[in-house]
Amino acid sequence: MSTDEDDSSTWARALAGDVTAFGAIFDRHRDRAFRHAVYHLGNREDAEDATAAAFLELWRRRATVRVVDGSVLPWILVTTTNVARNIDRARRRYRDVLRRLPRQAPSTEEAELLLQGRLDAQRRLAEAAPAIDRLGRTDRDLLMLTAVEEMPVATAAEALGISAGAARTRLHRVKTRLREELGSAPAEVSS
Amino acid sequence: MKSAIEMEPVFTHALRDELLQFAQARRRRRPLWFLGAAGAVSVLVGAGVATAAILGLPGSPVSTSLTEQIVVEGSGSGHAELGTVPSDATHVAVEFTCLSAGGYRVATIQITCASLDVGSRSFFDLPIDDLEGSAITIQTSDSRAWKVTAAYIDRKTSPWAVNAKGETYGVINEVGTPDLIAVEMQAGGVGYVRATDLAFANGDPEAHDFRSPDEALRWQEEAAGTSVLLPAFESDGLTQIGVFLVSR
Repeated sequence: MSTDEDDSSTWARALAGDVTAFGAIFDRHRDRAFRHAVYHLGNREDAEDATAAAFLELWRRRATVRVVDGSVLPWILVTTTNVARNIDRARRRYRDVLRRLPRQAPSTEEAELLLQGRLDAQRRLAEAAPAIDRLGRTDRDLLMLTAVEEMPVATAAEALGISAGAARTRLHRVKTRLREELGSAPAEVSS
Repeated sequence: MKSAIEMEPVFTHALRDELLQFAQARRRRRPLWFLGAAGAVSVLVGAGVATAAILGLPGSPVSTSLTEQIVVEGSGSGHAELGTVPSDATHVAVEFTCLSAGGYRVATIQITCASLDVGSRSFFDLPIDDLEGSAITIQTSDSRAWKVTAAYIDRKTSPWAVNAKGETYGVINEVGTPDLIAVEMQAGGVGYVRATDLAFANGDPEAHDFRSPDEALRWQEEAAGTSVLLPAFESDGLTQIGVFLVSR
């Protein structure tokens, strides 16, 4: 079943006004987006808001969404990152929708899992974290998509609207810079 | 290994319903040109849009029915047997109706019906290769009812036309974008907008020569919620006959 991994036909149906296809896109990518949001925000409520805002943005900006390698996931992840960085603005924009959504307080066990998930993700970049914070936004997004989300460089590049060549150059530069700052390059960062 | 971090089910369900309603409420605001991108006329019928505007335009799909429609109703997983595949069939035109809320997989197409979708129809063309022999496979849980109406078709995409200036014109399709894109104009009727004008109005990075993704994002933020009117022409690309509204 070839369309399992390929959003193209589902996305085309969504664009043509078939909202059930939009629902299928949500079903396919919601958990990945949510985990991405948890990584950035570290708690359930903020991550839920960011995920909701990212999918609302997906529909609002559907005319300009980039389908990369047959998938809208890269676009969703980049948008989730952007929304997470400015969660207050996203909350203002989608206030009416967000306040209708039911919330449940996470159990202690869940809270620990969430925290653990963030720590696990952060540990992968722990060595480099302070240096990564000093990177520009595009470099940081590029590193995030390739190192944390394990996306191919070309795919991440397309999602960020830069050429694959430019992405490789940037990653190489980032790697060199991190190596200089840290004394050794983190294993996950490859160009 | 799958992470244990997932969205809470009650929240997920509510968010899903909100997203579908959000999409439902806003889908009609999109210009017609965009609908051509689906590449299947039947999808347009499904979207409840007047197909007459796009049917027969250069670049639109042309489907010829090869067999009578077959109607199969069932519940749970099953097959809709369509009979022998005609040698010139390229697709099966399918109309799928979910009669219960929930998820269905119709051959390769995933359809999820929220409670507000029950009874609504989805239209799509399935490539012949996606059939199991001569049957459409439906997968769902036991209690979910469905109805399939299907017929074999021969589907071709008509070529774009070329005007006196050598510009292509027609609807956006799986081949790409013509120089002049068919749109439904603000006052009704079909006109053509320049692909370059539309790309610029939509914030396409290639049309803008943004120097950085930050610049592109800033542009998108500033343009959000604004509208711009583009000139719409006859297919000659010269005679302006109306305007086309792009909402951003």
